[in-house]
Amino acid sequence: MSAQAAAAPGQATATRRLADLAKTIRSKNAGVDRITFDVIFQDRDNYELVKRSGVLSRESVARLYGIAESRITDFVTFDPANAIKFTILRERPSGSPGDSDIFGAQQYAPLLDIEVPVVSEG
Amino acid sequence: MLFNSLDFLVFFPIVVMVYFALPFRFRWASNRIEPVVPGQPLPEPADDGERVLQGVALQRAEAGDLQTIVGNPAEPALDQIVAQFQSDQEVQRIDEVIAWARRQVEERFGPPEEGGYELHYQVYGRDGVMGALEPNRDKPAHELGILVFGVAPTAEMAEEVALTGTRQMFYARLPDVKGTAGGVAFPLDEVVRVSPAYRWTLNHALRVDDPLELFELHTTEVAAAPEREAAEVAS
Repeated sequence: MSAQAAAAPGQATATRRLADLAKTIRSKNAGVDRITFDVIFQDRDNYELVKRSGVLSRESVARLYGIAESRITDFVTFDPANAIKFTILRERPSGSPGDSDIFGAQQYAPLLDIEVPVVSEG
Repeated sequence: MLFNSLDFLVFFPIVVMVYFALPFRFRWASNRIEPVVPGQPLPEPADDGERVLQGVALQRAEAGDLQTIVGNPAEPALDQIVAQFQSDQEVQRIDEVIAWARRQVEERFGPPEEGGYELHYQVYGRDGVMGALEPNRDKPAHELGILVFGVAPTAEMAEEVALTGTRQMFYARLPDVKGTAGGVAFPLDEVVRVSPAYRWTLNHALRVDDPLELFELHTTEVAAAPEREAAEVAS
C-alpha cells in the first residue's frame, strides 16, 4: 500500500490507525454461530477514506484473523450509516465448552491498529 | 402386522435402513428441516417458484457437566525463559506442557472421544480471549494464566479430568527444563465447580407455508368488571 501511494509524485504517504479514524469499532454475537463486526465513522470523510483505501476487505480481514475467506459470511459497506460491517463464522457455537468469549464482544482488538494510508500534500 | 410380531422385527429394520439409505432430500418426513452445519452458512432455500418461503427457527441447547479449575503457570520452566527469552520457544513450551498434561489425562480416562469428556485450556497472556483468531499468538507475555475446563458426563468425573489436567502441568517433565520441583504456580489447588455446560445441539430452520401452522393460537377476551368500569367513569 505504501508502494501504491509513493507512485503519486509530489505526495507523501502517512498512515493513521483505524482506531483514530472510527468512532466505534466493535464485535458482537450474531446468532449462535457467528460474530459480527462494526466499524462506524462519525463523518463521511473518514468513512470514505477507509472504504476507498481497501484496508478493510474480505481478504484483509481473513488475513488479519488467520481464517479462510469462506468463513466471512457477509461484508458490507453501508453508506447511510458511514459504516462497514462484516460477519464471520465462529470456531464453535457461543457458550460451548472451550468458547473463550461467549458474547463475542472482545474480538475487535486486531482492527484497532489497522494502518490506513492517508495521502497528504508533500 | 402387530408391533410385537416377528414380521415387525424384520419389517422395521428394513424400513429404517431404506430411510437412511435415501439421500436427505427424499426423506419426506424430514426434508422440511434444514440442518445447520456448524461453521457453515445456512443452506440456501430451494426455489419454490411463486411460494413465499417462511421459516421457523428451531434451536436447542443441552446440558452436560462442567468444572473449572484455575491454574496459574508462571511459565513452563522459569530458568528456561530467563535463560533465553525467546517467545517462539516459550509458546512451544507451554504447548508442550499442555500436551503432557493431556497425555496424563488420556492415560487415565482414554482419549476424549472414547472417555466421553472434554478438556480445554485457555492460555491468557497469549490467546486466551481470541483463541485461533489472535494475530499476536506468537508474542505471548512472559507470564501466562491458564484456565482449565473439564467437561464430563458426571460432575465427579469432570472434577477428576480438570484436576488431573491441571496438576499434570505441574509435573510436566520436559527436556532442557532445569527446574524439577514444579513448573506451575498454583494460586489454589482445588477444583471450582460451575454450572452444567450447555451446548447448542439444534440450530435449524423449518420451512412452513403459514407462519402460524406450528403454533396453537388461543384468544381470550378479557372484559373489565362492570362495577369497576362504573367506578372509574364516576371518578
